[in-house]
Amino acid sequence: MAGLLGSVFNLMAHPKKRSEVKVDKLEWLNEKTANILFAIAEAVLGENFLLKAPKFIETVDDYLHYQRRAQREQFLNALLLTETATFNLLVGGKLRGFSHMTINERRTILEKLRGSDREIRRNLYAAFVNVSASTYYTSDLTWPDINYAGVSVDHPEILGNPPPIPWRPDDPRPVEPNAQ
Amino acid sequence: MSGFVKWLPDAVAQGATVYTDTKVDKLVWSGDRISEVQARFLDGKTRPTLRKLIVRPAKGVLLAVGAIGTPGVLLRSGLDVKKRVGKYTHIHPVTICIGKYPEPTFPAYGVPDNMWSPKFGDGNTGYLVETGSFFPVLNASATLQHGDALHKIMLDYYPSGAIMYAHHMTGFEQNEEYGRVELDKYGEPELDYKLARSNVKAMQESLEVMSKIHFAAGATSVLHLRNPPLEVTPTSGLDEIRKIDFAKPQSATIFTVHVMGGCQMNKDQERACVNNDFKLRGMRNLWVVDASIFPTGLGANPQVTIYALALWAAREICELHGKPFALNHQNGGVWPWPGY
Repeated sequence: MAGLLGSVFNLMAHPKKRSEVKVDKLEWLNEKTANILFAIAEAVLGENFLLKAPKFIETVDDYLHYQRRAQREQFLNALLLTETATFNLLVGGKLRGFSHMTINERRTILEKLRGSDREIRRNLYAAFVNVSASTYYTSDLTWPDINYAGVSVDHPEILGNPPPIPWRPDDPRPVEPNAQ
Repeated sequence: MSGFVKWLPDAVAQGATVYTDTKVDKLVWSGDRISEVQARFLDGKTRPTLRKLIVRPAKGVLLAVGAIGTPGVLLRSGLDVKKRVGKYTHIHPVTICIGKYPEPTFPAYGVPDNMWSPKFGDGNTGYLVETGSFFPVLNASATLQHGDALHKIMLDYYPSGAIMYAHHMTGFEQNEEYGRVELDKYGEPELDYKLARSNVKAMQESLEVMSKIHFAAGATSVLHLRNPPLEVTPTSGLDEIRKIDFAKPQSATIFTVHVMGGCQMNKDQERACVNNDFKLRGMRNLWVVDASIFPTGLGANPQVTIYALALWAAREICELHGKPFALNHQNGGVWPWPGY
């Protein structure tokens, strides 16, 4: 069923090509799905997100290696479905492909998916924002924006401080029954 | 204590051969005996290759593929014990919230060092409250938000945030189905899990409890991974937590850890797949030794319990074959954790 649906969605999806999307080294994403993923990520993360996560498309392609085959097919079909004009007409009243909309229009579609009564649409929203956000914030170029210095740096401001005050100083019981 | 550091080196020292990057396709059986294990080698990205591995057991097969993998192998092999394999699979549904503090908390600094409390762990739907380190990607992968609001949450709750989570007990409600492992169209195991209503209530409660703990520790606000995200302060929003309907998918992010059950050892004969000697029912040379034999969820991390069951199974198998069973420390060695 997923194979047939995927073929139908593939025929119906005609995403806008973006010059930033390079597909020559991708294994699971193709030109269509990579451009749709770009459009979704741009809606979730904002314009120029590739400046801080230049390997975004390649990283998601690599994630797909480790998915179950059926899950991988579902994700790729979800990308194609989101691009179809019929889907966007039903969800957001726009008879256009997702990637051909402005960012604000795409975010309106995302809001409709998020608030939908239909479980499958909420699943689409969760998949798109989680994949986009987690892939983006694995890139170390994004870390200074949130004041994250990485896991292997010294923090003299911690090491130079006196130890914290005892926990529950007025409590006669030890914190751990066996702690001595 | 890691299998790669302790258990596998010990097994190799005793003469075991370890085949890495392999995947068991199925067990070939006849009557009550396994005659062959059929496996394939995988490439560096876990894709099956054409190279096959066939193992013909001299004494038996011990299956330890985990609570999803073990039912998968059994179902692919046609060893579904009275249609029970894969049924009553349990997870610990985990609720999470992040407190925002007035000072930097360095939530990813140093060795992960968790602290937990069993205060709320009693009863069929109790939960363990725990704090630990967290990294930006955890927050990013769980926040149901997009656009500028997403980046604001990441900035607000990362450098001065502290995570708290609760893992919830499951498996004691007799009328609940919980999880079910089945094979997908490609023969891969797939877990479908249904939250019990009693867990939903406890999950709402745990978020409220954890919020209050955050506030008592000085947090100025607490982020809940609801859809849309819910920010609670000491004076507002707590009553919204009880309205989160976790049973409605994507109403909030729920984490899962510790998959258990699906091939139960159970005194309830209507649910048991494995006998008390760890043998799969109806088979004489197939043992199952992993978390899939748990009859319920534990309410806590299962690793040590799995180790204990493995020791029990090892003793059973040694006795069956007339071999002496002795732990390393009984021969003068150190076991298992010095001073434990």
